[in-house]
Amino acid sequence: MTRNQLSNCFMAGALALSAYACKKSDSPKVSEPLRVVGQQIADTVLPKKDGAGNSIPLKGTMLAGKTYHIMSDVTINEGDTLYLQPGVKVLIHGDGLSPETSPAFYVNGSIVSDGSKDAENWFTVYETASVPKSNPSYKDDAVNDPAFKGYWGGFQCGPRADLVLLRWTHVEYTGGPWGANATAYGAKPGDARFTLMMNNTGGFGKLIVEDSWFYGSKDDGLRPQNVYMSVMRNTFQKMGGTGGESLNIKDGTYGDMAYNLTYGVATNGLKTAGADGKTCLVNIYNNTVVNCGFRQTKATRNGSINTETNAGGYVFNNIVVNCKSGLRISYQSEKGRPSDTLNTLYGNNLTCIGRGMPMGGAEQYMIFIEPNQFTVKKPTDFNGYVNGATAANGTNAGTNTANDSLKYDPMFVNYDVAQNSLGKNYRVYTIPAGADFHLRTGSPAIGSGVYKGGSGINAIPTKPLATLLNQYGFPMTKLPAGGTFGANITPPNKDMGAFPTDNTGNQHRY
Amino acid sequence: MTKIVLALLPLFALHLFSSAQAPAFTIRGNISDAYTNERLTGVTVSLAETRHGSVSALDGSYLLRNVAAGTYRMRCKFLGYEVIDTTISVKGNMVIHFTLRSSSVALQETVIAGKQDASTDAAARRSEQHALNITNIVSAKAIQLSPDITIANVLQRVSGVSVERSSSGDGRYAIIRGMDQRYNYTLINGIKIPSPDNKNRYVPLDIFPADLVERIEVNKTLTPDMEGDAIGGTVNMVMKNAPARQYLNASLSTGYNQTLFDRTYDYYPVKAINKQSPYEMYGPAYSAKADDFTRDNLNYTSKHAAPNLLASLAVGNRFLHNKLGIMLGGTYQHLTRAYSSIFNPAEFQEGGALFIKHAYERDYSTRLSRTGLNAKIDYNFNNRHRISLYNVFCMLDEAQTRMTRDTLLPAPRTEPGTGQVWYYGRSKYQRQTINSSSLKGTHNLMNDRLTLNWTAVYSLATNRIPDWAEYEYDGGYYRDPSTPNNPPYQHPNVLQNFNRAWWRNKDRDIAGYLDLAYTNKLGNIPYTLSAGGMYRSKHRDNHYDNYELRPIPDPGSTNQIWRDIYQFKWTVFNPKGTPGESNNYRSNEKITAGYLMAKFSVRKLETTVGVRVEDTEQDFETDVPVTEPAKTGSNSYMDVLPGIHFKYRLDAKTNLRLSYFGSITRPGFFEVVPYNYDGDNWKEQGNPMLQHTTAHNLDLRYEYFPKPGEQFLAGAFYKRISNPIEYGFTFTGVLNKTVYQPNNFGDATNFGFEVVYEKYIRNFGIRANYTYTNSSITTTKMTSAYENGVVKRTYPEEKRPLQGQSAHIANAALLYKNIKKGIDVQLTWQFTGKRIVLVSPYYGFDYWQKDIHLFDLSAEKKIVGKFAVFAKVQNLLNTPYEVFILQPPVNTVPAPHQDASSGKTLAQRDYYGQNYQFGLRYVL
Repeated sequence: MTRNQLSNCFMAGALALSAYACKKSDSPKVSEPLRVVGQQIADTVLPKKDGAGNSIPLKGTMLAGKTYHIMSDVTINEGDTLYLQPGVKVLIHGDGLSPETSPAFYVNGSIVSDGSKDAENWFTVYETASVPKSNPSYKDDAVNDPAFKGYWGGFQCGPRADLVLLRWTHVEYTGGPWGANATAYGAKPGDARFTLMMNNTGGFGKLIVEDSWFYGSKDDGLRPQNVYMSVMRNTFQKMGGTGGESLNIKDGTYGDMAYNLTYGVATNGLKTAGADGKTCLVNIYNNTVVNCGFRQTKATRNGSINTETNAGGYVFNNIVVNCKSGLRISYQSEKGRPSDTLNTLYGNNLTCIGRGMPMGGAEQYMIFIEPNQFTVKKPTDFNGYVNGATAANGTNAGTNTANDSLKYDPMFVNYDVAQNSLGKNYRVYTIPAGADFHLRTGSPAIGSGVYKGGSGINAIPTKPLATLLNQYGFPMTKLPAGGTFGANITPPNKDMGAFPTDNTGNQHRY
Repeated sequence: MTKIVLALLPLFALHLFSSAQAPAFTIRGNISDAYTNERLTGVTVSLAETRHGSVSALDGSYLLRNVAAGTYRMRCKFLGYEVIDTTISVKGNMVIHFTLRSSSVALQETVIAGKQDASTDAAARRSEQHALNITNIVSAKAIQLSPDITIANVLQRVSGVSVERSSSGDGRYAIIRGMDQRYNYTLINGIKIPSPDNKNRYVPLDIFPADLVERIEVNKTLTPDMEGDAIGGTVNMVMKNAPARQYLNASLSTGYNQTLFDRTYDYYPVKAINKQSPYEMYGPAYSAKADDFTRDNLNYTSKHAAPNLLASLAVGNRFLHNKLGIMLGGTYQHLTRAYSSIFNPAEFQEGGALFIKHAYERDYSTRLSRTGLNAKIDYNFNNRHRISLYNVFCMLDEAQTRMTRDTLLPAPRTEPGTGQVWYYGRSKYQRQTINSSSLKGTHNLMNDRLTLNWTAVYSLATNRIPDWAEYEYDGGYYRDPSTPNNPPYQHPNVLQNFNRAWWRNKDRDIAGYLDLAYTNKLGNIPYTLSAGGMYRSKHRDNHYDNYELRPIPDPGSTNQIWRDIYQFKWTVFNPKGTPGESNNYRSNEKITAGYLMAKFSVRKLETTVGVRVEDTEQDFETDVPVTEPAKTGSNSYMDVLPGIHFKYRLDAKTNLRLSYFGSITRPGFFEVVPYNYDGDNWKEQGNPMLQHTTAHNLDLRYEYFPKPGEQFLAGAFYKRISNPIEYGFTFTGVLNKTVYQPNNFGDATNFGFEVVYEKYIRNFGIRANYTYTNSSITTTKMTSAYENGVVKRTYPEEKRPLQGQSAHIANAALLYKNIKKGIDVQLTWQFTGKRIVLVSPYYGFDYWQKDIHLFDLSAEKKIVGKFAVFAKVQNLLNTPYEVFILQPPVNTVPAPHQDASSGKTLAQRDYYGQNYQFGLRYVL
């Protein structure tokens, strides 16, 4: 090691240390105003019934410190708001066996779960002997793990739902089956409900999900369509039993998806797809995607970040580790049609695979980039794909370098990629206790991201002809910013991944 | 001519020559009806002193050869006519014409026993000639001699009619003058029957065995005494009536499908199918378990098919001094068939390009059982009052196996021989039944001036598809992206989720009809005034239950490998079934109708004029919770439908007809149910606001009946259709959001002309018809375009013909009939010009069936006594059914079965193979 390198190391270490020290020394706090929306909800067993036995729709404020019990489906009427003060616990009584015994929140108005770092909110199942919760001993057992039982029905939004905001909120054990009302939500009875489905058919809904935890779902997690969206700094684990994504973003969605950790998701951690003649424009940046894509029984679905059918956006600064395959800008696939390559810019992504060779049987190998799709390796990327010839339709027939296993280790603070690639560890879907996905000194991901004001490899590329990219920006500004009802947007960082060294990213600890 | 027939029919050649002997004298002539002047076919002419005998031919001519000079007693005998018994003296060749007097004129007063045999062709032509409206009739004789075994296949030989085929290649629905099944209705003995279809009101015609009927009437215009909901036309099956004397007609035959000579079929035991879903068996509280789902019905064994069995029996007689008549008919067909299909559905790519994503290859094996029972009892109290009880029951069972291979054409397929491949095995068993009972009374009052008819009807149609099941696994041949130069490796076959579904629906009608007709003369103008009404209450009930079964991963794996159906381990994903599915609904429809009609003749002009009023009350109820919109809905409307029909008798053989009538079409039962389904690219929705369709119809027809059974018809029609129901994109009124739904898309027009020609020259006949149809409708489609580099969905309007309408339809049959030798031969050609078989939601993506020529052959020969042998070959040339989309695919790796130079995409190609049938018939 040369002196220069040594001093660099020292400097970096000192910087990290001082950053850490700074945070410790000062932490000024000011009190938040007490916020009450409408009437206070004093009853804790909900929903209440009217004389005819029908549930009375819910609105008003759930109060800090209270634990509410949801016994059957809850409806929030159009124009009404349900507001959860910081520190509310909502226990849903459900078993996931039938629509009637898997209550859901039907949101036709707005729901704001205003948790905070110090006072988190909870939407979880009411645990009984026959409705057990999951535990960390379930690591690779989708059949038996209670996390995938879909005990309750999640948040299902009607066509005019205005705002869904989840902040510092835990949402667990969703996915109970659709019942007789499925058809009103465009679903089929018996299908698993998504954790949060929002499809505004009257304009654009607003979906803000920040600093929250999603744990256990039967199928897709968040499924926005026709909304403005900001999904930032969240953690997703145990999503999708035998298929499903953390975020499955549909047409008409404009927004940002950043600083999320998705771990052990059945198919893709993050997926965007428009529809024929309809755009889906989502900036996907600074996410960390680990162990995804191995529970999808369909062979040719992607496994980490996937854009399909007219989807576009800025895709930068993501770290993909041990997923079935890295970023895919799809041309054609079993489900998808070509993504909107004109309105797509990507680069500065890191893909690390621990197992480059086929793993035998029906198990998949891991690859950096699936060939014959639009994706190529950009000069700013870290992965073992060698670009091949580009066909007339824009697809690239490159090759994956099998020997590049572990070559692009992002060097997490406490998550040994090599160790977690052995045997079937790549299939583990439970974040190990104490895991820390911050970047160690020397990580190739440090300083390799694009950010506003960056230059050289850190500059955000531009594409003058990409109308949509230029119109919507990076990050976007469609949602109100700040405050109780606005989004707290973290711009792209000069480091890659959800946990940059300046600690401005994901705040979660495991 | 003889040579042609000889070439066609070496089998029968021997008989043609065997009669050639040295002549003495010949006696020839024509035989006709004394009253109508129509030539009569089938009259026995004999010389009592000799063994000489002849039967009058198709053109009414007879010929006796080798008659020595002398004096003979000559007799002409024909059922329903008075016998002619005369003496002739033969000195040389002679020409003698006979006219026979119908005995029915005399007999009519007492019994209907003397009635003409309505099942002959000549009778059919007579009916056409005398009908009030524009009709085409196919007689039972024609059906018996035709190559067809179901009503639907018979219908395609009628002018202006084409058929929509089921997946097995059999005709299923009649398209009359380019108007698809939605615009037509089906009657049995003039009574409308309910449908076993779970969504629509039209009746699948392949359920009816052909030999149950006496005749089929296709009405293309409606008189006010007919129900008004047909714009294309109506199909009336007139079932066999009690005969005038003892009647017995029996046949037994067997056959085989060519495909089954070439391959085995995939058998599964139907009895292994659970007829009821777990929900039906144990109630809504029950959670289905993995063991509730059977496996035997998905275990296929390769078998050689047993020969087909077809049997029919019709017996009838009159008792109690001809007061009581009974006719019983039964028919049973058991057929095994195999066929194969390729299917390449079109996928839309931005800007309107087409590519093929999936290439399906499917092998079907199917076992069909068709049962028909028919009973008619009539009782004549006296010559003024009679009642009849009629019952028909038809049942179609189909057990079908479908084995599918589906290759994904985009990546990972990089060259032929690589790619992801799915394998499917599907078992579908369906039982459809239609039962209709009616009690009818006819009363002649006021010295026969007033006729009163009443009918009470109970009908029930049912449909069951228990345990529709299709398993699926996928594997294929991949190139490893890390070692792309190595040969492709075989991906293990990974099991996928699959479904088990139970369908059950029924449609019940209770109806009453009352008709009064008063006949008199005003001066020298004969007239008939009629009035009547009907009421029908319909109730429909639909159940649907679907269970999703998901594979349990193999130990230590994240998926399960396919071994066989018995080792497939699954869990039930939705153990409670799907009680809220939108296919669960009930609907009612009450139709009340009345009409007034007058018919009068002034000299050669016969006028029928009247008006019909139909009141419709509809409602539906679904299982969605009360908190959702449109749990129930109703609609009511009334239509006033005028009609006027002129028939001008230019002479005894020629008519000129002109008619106008108003008619309607009601929406399908499911279309108004607010189902809602989010597809990948658009939302589909039912439309409770759907309006019914109304139409103005104008017809002109020239008819010329030169001889019995012969005809020349030429006609033209014009239809203006308001609010036709088509599927398209509708703007919901909120931003630019759309849904794909049935809707009323403005107006449509439909016009065309048809020509029918029938001619007999001694033993040869030709029947031909041609119809030209031109319809057009404009609906909203979807496509996209780039604007400033941003893709934009657009909804352009696309003008096209109505679905199912061919511009050109033609039929021709070449007949040979030798009554003396008892030989009947028929070679038929059926042509359906290109037409849209599937309307795509995408602009420029409609599926067009290619021109298709079908040839069929049938022959019958009388052998000893009352026995006859017959043979039928359907689909003589194994003509493929091909469907194209009129733009080429843009696939990077060439798609299989495509011809790049054609500029088209082959979307479907089915080969059904020839069907052979041989049998024996006994006619008393």
